[in-house]
Amino acid sequence: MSEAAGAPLVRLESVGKRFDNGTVALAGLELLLRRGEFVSILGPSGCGKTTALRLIAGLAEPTLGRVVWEGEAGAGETGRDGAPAVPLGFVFQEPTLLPWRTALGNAALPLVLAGMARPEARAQAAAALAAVGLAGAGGLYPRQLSGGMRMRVSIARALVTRPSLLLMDEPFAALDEITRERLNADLLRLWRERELTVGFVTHSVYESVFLSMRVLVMARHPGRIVEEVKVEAPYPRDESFRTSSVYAEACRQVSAALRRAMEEER
Amino acid sequence: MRAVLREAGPAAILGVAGLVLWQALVGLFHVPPYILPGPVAIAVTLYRDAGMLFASLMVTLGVALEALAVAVVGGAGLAILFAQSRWIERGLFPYAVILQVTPVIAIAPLILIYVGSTRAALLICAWIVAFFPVLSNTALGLRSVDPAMLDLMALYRARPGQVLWYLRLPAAMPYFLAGVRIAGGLALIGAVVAEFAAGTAAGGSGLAYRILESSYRLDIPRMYAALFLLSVTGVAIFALLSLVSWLALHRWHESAARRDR
Ligand SMILES: Nc1ncnc2c1ncn2[C@@H]1O[C@H](COP(=O)(O)OP(=O)(O)O)[C@@H](O)[C@H]1O
Ligand SMILES: [Mg+2]
Repeated sequence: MSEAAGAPLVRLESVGKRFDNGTVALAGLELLLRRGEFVSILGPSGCGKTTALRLIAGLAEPTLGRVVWEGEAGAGETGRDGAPAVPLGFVFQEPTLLPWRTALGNAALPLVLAGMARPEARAQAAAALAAVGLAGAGGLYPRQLSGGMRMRVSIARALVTRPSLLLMDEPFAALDEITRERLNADLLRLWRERELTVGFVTHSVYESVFLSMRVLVMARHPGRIVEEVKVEAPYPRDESFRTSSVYAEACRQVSAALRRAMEEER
Repeated sequence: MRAVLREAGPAAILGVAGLVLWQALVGLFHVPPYILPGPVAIAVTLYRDAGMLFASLMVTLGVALEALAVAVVGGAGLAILFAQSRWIERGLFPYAVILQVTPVIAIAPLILIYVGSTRAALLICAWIVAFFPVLSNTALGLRSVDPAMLDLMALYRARPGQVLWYLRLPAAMPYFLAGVRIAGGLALIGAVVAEFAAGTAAGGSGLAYRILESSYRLDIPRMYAALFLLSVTGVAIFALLSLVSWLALHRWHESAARRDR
């Protein structure tokens, strides 16, 4: 049951991030992800969405506050190296594929880096590619793939380690509308099938409402979460959801929240 | 085939026209061959002296290729060392630059004095000019890695050796190969320059030695023949290294991939 709010998974407690050049990207950020949730983080560009995801992923460390992982044996805080306590997949804004590796080679990379034997890694990568609808494309190089296919390979790579938490940073921002809607539908299917927890960054109101159970709206200068909008619609959601009144109402609420967030800047 | 014609056609036509014009002018004005031989006279000399010239070419080519091999291994190895530590790079790179900007013709006499074996001295000279492009290109390539890719490696806890093997080395490959292509031509130039510096006294037998020897005897056609052989060899080295580069990169790198129309 992925719709029910599960146990807390990870919590950002009054997190602040100040870069070496003095930029304060985040201040007093409070965020809770529960197991099985699909949560979107929405905000104007430069509000610190990417920074927040990187903190959760352990790619950067907060300068204030802490990232707390819940419910794992011995967890309760980050490991000494700031490493997340659960297996985690990350989809970057760009596909970030290695151009000299085929789609299959790219999808297998996390397993290869973890020391898995080559044939086993390739078999699991092939399964991950099939799960994102790229069963036949394993032998192609990134330059031979369309933008949408590259993003699918990137998602396959994030899923190949069977993570319980998937973080995605504006993954579909560069894609055309039709490709984006298809990938949204496939993402929801994967989320349910694999009982994932998804933290999804976007600057599209419609995308956030279509996908998520909760939309967290951020403001800039400094980056923080100012409002939360719950999307009270059951899953599975299909294209008909886009024409429903619940969807329209949620979009209206999120847009209003976003406008307030932008006004709060000055 | 048509692509080859389109690429090489204009140069070939110009070249043949030039040769015909050259031969015609030499014949028309009765220019003596000890001033300017025509292409036919040069070709005849090339054919007549082929055994001796090719033996000399092999000597020079041997020096150039050995120097190139050491330059490729040494340049790439040093670049990898630089990538491990900024401190080592800051310490050594200025000296590599000094070695590069000092004309080899000026260092060659000293090297010839200090190094007992002439062949070893020639090798060192050719290596000095050839290794810098490999070093600087590879070092640049190892550094030019997309930060997002480094994030990816960090996310999956890649060890430094894995980052080098799976990310930095392949990313540096196009840069490295471009450096090797430049180094190939430079190694040949370095070998010839060093042979000139060594002169006929050192008992050399390379192509430069043949050119010097012919110039003393005013055997201009043979000078041209030797020159021709050198140019062809330089072009051949470049073409061969370009082929290697294409073979290594064409599947994934835009520079080598044929654009599908
Ligand atoms: N490595 C960095 N060094 C300095 N400033 C940074 C760095 N990364 C991001 N920033 C700044 O932090 C703020 C938030 O950036 P980011 O998290 O990328 O925003 P978003 O993803 O919402 O567009 C921006 O003002 C950006 O310029
Ligand atoms: Mg961003």
